[in-house]
Amino acid sequence: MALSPKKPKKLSGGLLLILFVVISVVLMTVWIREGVNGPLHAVRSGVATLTMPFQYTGALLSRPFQAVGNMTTNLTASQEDISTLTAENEELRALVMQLEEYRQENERLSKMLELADTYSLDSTGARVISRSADTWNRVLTIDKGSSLGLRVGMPVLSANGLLGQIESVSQFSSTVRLITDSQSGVAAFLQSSRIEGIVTGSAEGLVYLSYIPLTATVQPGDVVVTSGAGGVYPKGIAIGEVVSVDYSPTDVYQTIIIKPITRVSTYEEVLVLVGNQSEVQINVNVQSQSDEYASDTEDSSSTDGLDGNEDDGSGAAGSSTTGGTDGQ
Amino acid sequence: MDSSSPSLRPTVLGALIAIALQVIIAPNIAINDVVPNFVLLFTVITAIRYGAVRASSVGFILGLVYDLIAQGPIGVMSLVLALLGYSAGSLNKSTLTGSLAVQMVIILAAAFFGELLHSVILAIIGYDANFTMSLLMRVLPGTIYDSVIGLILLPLLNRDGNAHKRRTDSSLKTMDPRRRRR
Repeated sequence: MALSPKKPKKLSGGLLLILFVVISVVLMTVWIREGVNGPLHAVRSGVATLTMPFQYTGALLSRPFQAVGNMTTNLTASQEDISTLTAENEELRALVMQLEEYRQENERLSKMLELADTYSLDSTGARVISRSADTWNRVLTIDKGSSLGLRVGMPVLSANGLLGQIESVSQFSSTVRLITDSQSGVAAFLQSSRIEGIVTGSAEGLVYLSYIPLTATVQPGDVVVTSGAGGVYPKGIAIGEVVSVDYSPTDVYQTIIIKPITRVSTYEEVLVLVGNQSEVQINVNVQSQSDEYASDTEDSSSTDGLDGNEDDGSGAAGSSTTGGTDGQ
Repeated sequence: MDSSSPSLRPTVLGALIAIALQVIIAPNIAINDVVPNFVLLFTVITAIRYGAVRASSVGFILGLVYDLIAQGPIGVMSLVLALLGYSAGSLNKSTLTGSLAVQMVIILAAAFFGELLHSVILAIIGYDANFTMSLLMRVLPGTIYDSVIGLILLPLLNRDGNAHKRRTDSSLKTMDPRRRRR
């Protein structure tokens, strides 16, 4: 009797579906449990590298349409809008001048106190190449990645204020989670009262300042800035201003809605804070100082350090630190 | 592959186009942060055309790719689309091959249940805390956006499918020996 070769059995639809469900659940569990250096995160990083040229193409293709959209919006701006903006611009110019005066004064006082300047931050510019590919995450993709020294956790700014934080990095691109995303949280305080809270995004697109007690006085228009707590974001970066305050006597905290200072949809370029310049300069100066000791030069007094500090403005913070170290 | 089963080529080609649209086009046509889901639409169209088995396979693979492209947890969309493809493809054949309006209703329902299931899973795993707001601000606008794009795509695909069917029918007729004898 001849044996006919057995045909391989096909999986039935139900079995196949169960298999897919099991694989998906396993993947979800692994994703939740693994860290940012886990295998699934690595695969996603690889996919980001592969899709980057396509995202870039999409951004290039959409740019003319966005430009037309912006032009239409500008053309349809009313005379009233233009007048308001002109007046606002004049006010801001005056404010910038005043702030510049304060900045210089602060710099001088910091030098005298030999403090490192926490606001002189090293940053690198990057171009936005894509926005979120899904409805559930508010993210941006920028055209710089680990090959240029970007790392997970670095803060990302627009020209006005805080935009978000790098969440994942591939070789040539990085994904930035915006402060408007519901997964985002930023330690912040109210500039006027210095009361600390957490700025969180939400599904509805509003940004909340949470954990502000009922006893605190908060007014619409109050400015919210980063507090520096947690060490992720430097202190003093503008986030937005309070637009509404609501609470009932039974609440523990107030419900405060803030309007972010940056309109995410309009930005094409961003700044990534890659480190604190003063820290870098301190390191450089400590290195040069040890070199000086090694070469055994006789006159390296603290007064010389301060003199050099006054001559060279760029190295101000570092030089003053060197002087301080000498003095010690 | 069984010789009686329909060719895989259009499905693979369509899947690649859906991924390309999701990566290149979707982020740039988002309205108020609501991004159209081309891979969901393609899964439903596959279910209408080819049935449950192929649709759940296509849904699983495309969902996995979508999860890797997007920034959410991996495995969520693959689970949603595998279930959606299977459910939509398991509908009565006469319903699936019905009029354009019926197919549109299927797409609308699939878009709603797909987005809703996605939202529920994210809420269960603690990724998205405010379910009510997600429903109002993401599920419903997402459903409308997906349905509008489905409304544009479906007649185009049907027209293409009908033209292909006509071509196939006419070539079969010319090969028919009874016709040749005449």
